[in-house]
Amino acid sequence: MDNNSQATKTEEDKFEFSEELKQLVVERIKSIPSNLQISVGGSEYTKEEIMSHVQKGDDVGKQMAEIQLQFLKELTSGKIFQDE
Amino acid sequence: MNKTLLVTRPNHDSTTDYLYYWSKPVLDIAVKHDFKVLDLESKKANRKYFESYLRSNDPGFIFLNGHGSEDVIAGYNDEVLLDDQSIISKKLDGKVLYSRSCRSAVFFGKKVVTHGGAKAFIGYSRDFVFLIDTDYITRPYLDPIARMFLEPSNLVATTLIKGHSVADADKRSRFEMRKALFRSLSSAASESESRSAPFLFSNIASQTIYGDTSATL
Repeated sequence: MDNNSQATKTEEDKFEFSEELKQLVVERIKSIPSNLQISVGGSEYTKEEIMSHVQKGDDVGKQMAEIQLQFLKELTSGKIFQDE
Repeated sequence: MNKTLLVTRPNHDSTTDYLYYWSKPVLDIAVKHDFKVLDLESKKANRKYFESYLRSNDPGFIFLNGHGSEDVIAGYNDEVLLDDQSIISKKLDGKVLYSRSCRSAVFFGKKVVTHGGAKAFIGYSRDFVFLIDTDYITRPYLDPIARMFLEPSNLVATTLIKGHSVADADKRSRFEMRKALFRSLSSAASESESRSAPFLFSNIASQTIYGDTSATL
């Protein structure tokens, strides 16, 4: 379990929030229907609010980027379809 | 078997309101399985009531809804219900906890088992995320998008209530979350369903167990 916590910290330290990545994440968030809100980190956000956080590169924005990136990585590698 | 369930259901914002309504079926199943249900709903999800009910009823299973962080789990208006003090005082000794609160598996969940004597803890190492369809915001229980997230996560609690192990509860909820994920990735998915996929995956990836995975209630 230590490894679990350490891995999270290491990933955050190494996470580089480039302008290209921001743009990718913004485009993905933009495609979310406007009637949906995202409940995350104790608050609810519209997609416009999320896009703003991503552009700012703040904690909420980084979290959204991590979620999208991890998903894309697991999807393209096929791991998402493997049994746990 | 200790068939007493202590549940916290604050409802002071949209997120907790959704959890408030979506937890209700868990309580109904608990009653059907002859559990004594201690429902700290709405403003009753405060530290005073929580500690009082914990002390006087000694529940075997604690189901926590609300906001949280790496170190604490909160109740109504984000009042802290569980923190390091709860661990040090061994108030949670021998209990199974399921926390539908953000990031409580990072530090609190592990410590409550290793230092607090809890039998097992199931929670999330990242923020527990779900989508809300605002067309249903006044009728959370009918929200089909939130259902994709909250119905599978309810299975952690209901599987335990039905007498199965912590490992089974984790497995069953993951199975249903993955079913929801695969549905969202299929060509039959609506736009809202398909956009849920990354967030569903995040919850699957972050659901974490500490303690005795063979533990039952």
